[in-house]
Amino acid sequence: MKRPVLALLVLALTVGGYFLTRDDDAAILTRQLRRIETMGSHQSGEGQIPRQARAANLRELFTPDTSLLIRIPDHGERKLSNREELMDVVRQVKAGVDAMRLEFLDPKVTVFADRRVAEARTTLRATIGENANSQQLFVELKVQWRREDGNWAIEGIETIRTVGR
Amino acid sequence: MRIVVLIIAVVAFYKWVAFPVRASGDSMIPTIQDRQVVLAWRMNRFSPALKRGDLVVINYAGERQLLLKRILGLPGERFAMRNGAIFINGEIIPEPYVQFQAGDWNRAEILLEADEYFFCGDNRSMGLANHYATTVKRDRIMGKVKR
Repeated sequence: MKRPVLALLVLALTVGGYFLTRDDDAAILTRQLRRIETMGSHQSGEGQIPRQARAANLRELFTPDTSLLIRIPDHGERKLSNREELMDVVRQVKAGVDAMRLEFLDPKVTVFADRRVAEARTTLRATIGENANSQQLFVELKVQWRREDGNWAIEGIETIRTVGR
Repeated sequence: MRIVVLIIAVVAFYKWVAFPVRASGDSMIPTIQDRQVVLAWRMNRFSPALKRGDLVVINYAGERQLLLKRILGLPGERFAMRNGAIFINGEIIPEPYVQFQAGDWNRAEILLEADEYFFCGDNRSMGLANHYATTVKRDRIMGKVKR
């Protein structure tokens, strides 16, 4: 009589533990945005090798056919249609910009019912340069993910509007 | 019954008339201290036009990211910052509310669009990179703080 009760208790604890400790998709995707912040940011005194090495890790967060439509205030629009183009731009920015800090403000992630696609609305705060001469750009973005082989990767980023410049 | 009416009145007041905002951080000192609570009067189509020096609450990102800042540049103006001083259409403006001056903040001149304002905090002693000092469209300004 005791054994079935014990077995049920173990089962309940296992199932409960699984649901309590599993990572939900929105949390995974929010963490990806935080990783982009880290990989995309660099400080003024940081050498080219570490900043390029960290940025190279961005590759794994994007699908090969990722597309980006970025409108930068006072600099027009730039469209990138695959991951290699994106990585080229990232390398150029890392080499040419003295310091940069990226922050995704208040991201709101929506995972759709089939759990194969997801979307986030967020405002990107990009601080270019350090201290007295730094400039900030604020753009509202739509980030779209696709899940392939169990892994989430970004398949598109689109600028919705410029919030501040 | 009285309690229900009171609750409805309070909710309606916060939703349509004014709402409390608690400052977080030192970017507005000495005008507003960290953790100080102020009342922001909601902006709507009947609100009077914003003036330079107005304190406003801005919804900058998502639903929770609110900023409490001061309006410095108005639509159609040329705005620039040189060595911490504000230049409007090429002329320096007095800022009696600034008591902690950086002296080294710089911002190239920009032309503000028809519905665009430039805002900044009063505490200029912190690094510009750690400060929100940028433009905002009118529809993002949620409320005005009266002092």
